[in-house]
Amino acid sequence: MKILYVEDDPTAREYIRRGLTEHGHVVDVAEDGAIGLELALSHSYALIILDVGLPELDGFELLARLREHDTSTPVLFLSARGEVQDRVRGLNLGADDYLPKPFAFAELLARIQAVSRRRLDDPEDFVLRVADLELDLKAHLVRRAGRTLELTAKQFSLLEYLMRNAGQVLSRTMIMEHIWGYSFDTYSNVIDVHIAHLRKKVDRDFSPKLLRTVKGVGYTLRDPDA
Amino acid sequence: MGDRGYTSAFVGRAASGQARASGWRLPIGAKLTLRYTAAIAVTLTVVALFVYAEVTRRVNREAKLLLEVEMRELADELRSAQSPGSSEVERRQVIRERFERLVRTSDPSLQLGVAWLGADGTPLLSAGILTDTRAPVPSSVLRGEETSSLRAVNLGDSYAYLAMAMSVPDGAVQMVLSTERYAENIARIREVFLLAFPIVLLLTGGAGFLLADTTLKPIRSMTQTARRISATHLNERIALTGSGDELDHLAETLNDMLARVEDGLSRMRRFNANAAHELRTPLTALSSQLDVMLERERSAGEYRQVLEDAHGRVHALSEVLDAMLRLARTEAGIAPSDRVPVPIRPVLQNVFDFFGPVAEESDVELHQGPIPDVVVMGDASWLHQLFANLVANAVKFTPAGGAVAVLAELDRNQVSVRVRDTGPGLAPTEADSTFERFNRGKQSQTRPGFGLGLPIAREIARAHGGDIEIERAGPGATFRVTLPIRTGTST
Repeated sequence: MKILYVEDDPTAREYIRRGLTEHGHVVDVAEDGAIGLELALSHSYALIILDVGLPELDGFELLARLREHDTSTPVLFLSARGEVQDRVRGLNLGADDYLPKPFAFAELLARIQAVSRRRLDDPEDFVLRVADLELDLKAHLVRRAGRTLELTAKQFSLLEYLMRNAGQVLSRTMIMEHIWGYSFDTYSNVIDVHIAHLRKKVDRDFSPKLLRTVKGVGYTLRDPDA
Repeated sequence: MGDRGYTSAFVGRAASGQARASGWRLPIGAKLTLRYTAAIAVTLTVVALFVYAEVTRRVNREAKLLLEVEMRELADELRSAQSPGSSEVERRQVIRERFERLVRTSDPSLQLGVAWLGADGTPLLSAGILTDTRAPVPSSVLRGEETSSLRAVNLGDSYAYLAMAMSVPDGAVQMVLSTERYAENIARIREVFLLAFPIVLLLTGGAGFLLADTTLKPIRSMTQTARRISATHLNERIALTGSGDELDHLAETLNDMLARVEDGLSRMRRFNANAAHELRTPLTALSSQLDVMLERERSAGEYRQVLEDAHGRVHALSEVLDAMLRLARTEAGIAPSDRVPVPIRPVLQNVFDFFGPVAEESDVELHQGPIPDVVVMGDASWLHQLFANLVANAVKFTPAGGAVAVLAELDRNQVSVRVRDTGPGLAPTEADSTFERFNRGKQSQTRPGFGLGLPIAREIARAHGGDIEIERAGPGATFRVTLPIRTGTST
């Protein structure tokens, strides 16, 4: 994926660039908002990662100006500030995700996948399928190998989220934000228990095991045989 | 900006205020004195002018009345003296006697003069001052067209006189009197005013200035006290005069403000001290670990292990930092403009759903009672955190087989949410310090978490205008959250 990464701290910039490149992405970097905006407008990127506090032109301002010309490129914000209002502001300006610093690199990777995927999602899908697991949004039913599974409302939402992002890693924080709307991550280990309970219903009596733990990062749902 | 940064901004502003005060400026006392001295001056002038005008008017009227009365009597007598039977000489004699008596009995200062004028204006008889002076008389009176006239005239050496002429058959009678006496009186009044005016102004100005000074003395002492107070010297308070007046009220208000500022600053200091302490321990551990590793060559596996450890610790540290920042933010409260209506039911339901599986894993029964359909004005995310912290805490401290209940109750204009557990509860001594930050209680030493959950919860409750109290310390603790609800509508 071709990524633009705008960050003024040279150490972070170098490490993240290296990390992303090692994961197969092509990364352009910019050290301030003005250069960042210029690059964003003159090239086509699959994703733009923006630091909020930038010299010349701050992240919010850059995004506002970018969105005047381009509403399709996904944007992910990184911020050391972490104020709730900043997050809301970023999302309102047209960002797709907002990650407070410091963050785990694996979290960044997971979110990059999720954000770029979001844009391709077809909202017309009423039935999500992974292997023999079926989630019917219209009928609000879950079936596996022909058997109907009894899920709670939250389990349904969680499974839907995992299936929509099938094959991608979703971090605990992402799950918390998406399903419960909690932007604090104090209880992220509670998610483990939720996943465990969901796994019991969806995977225990079936094969292959679709719900996988990605150590240190989060969870993913995918068909290992596909 | 840390504690020091805040303090220096404070001091900087105070210093610039000091610089301004040393420039030349009219003190309030002087301004006040000038103002009301001017007011008195204006009032005095108005009063003086009024008195002057009034006195002049009255004096003139008096003189006129006098003349009129005498004249009428005289004119009557003259008319009756014209009756047939008496000879011309007799008549004149009577009249002359009458004239002279009039002059004799009048106040010499009036310089009364009387004259009987013929139809052509020549005096036939005269007495008093009119014996050697003539006063003009309007011909219309002589001709009998007008019965009387009254006017001011100047006789000889510029003294002012009032002259009255009355028509009689074949002529007129004239009387004059001097208004000099009156003029003198008026002049004296004018002199008195002119002399008194500056003296009064001086006296009132001086006295007023002294009075203003005394009244404003407390302000000066306030200023001095305020100058002494600084971020490092916040415990001084402004003295009250005890008179209960506006200045005392101001002093009280300022003292209250100082108390609040002192409180805020000391909270900040405590927070910083706590933060430093909480961060130092894991950082020290990390530092020593890295030190040891760097002492000599290690294997790649060892390095990897240490890096992973360090990664974990850094993550833990940033979580502590986050929690502390969150606490600081909640202490700062919610800006009124950021408050939105938050229905309580979905918040509690969400928390209940969230901790369900965890409770199940710990073999703790989690249940909730009916939740009233009310709305709290505030921050949704914080309210979630508040209840999440309480429920997490309750589940954590309830042993297997126990239960945690979340019960909500509407109580007039507030909602009470009780989180009750069947755990061992808190010892009485622990109860007081439960909400102290970083306090973990005896039982929790082996469990994860850094003891900020409850202080954060309490600050959130307070930021919403409510509070948390330990309704029951145990065994089986009950935490009670009270939050004001939006009244008027409970949608």
